[in-house]
Amino acid sequence: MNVQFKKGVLELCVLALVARRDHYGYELVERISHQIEIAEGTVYPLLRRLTDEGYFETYLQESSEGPPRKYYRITALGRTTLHTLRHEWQQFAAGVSTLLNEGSRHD
Amino acid sequence: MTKQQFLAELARELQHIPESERRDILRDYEEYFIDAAQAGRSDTEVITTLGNPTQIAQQLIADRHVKPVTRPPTLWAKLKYAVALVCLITVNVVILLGPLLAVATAAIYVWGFSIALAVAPIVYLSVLRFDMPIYDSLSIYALMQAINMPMHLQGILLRVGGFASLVIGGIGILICITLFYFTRWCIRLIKKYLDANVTLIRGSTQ
Repeated sequence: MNVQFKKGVLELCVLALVARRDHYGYELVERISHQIEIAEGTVYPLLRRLTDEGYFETYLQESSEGPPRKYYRITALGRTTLHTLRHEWQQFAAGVSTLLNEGSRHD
Repeated sequence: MTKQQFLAELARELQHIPESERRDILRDYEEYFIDAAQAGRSDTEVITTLGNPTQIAQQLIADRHVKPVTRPPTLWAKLKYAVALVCLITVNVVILLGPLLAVATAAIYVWGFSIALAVAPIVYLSVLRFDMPIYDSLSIYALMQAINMPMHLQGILLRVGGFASLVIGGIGILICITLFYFTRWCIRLIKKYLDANVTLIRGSTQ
């Protein structure tokens, strides 16, 4: 699949997951790679960028199993962005499926 | 590659970014290794799925550079902007305006001339053909009759005239086409030059 395209979609997925509840890195990677094939190394750079851009805040929380984990929490700006991106994605996906169905009707 | 080698290579690739940031990134990846180990995955497996540390570092560095830097322009920047603006206006008006006007004027003259040539056959034929009063005094017949030209010479003259007008018209059309490309090229050049001016002024504020 096209790399740039995947990056955009990955951003949307990460925003959506963190919007539902706070996540730590590994958990996010697991949940996403469970559904779509990704290069796991790209998730951390993405998380850093989204944090730098002010969509996420981070905090450390002790874990019972080992060293403290870094959790990501969505900000108000992050929610607004998610809303916009989600809308764009839905329009895009609807457009694509309309085109695909048109195509199969003519086949 | 072991986990330690992976982290060391990542650290080396990130040596040019601030230390606090580098440490934070390495901490994230260490956490990832620990979490993955708890999920029962080996370090080798994790490294395979994470990908190349060089690529990860490139991604991280590239993302750092896209951060927008918004600073209000300093007095120095404003001064530079003003100087650049004055210099550009001087250069444009003093050096370039004269030649530009000369070329534009010449182009307009040549356009007029070539269009006149291109319509020569139409004018010739209309003078010859139409029996309108306005053409009467102008018409070639009237002229030839006025000087009592013999009939066979009149016939030759009309044919030569017709041929000549077609040749002139053809030349006129060719000049028109050449001029069209020349004018388009000039307009593009001017646009590019104006764009360059804008870029120069923008650049001087940074």
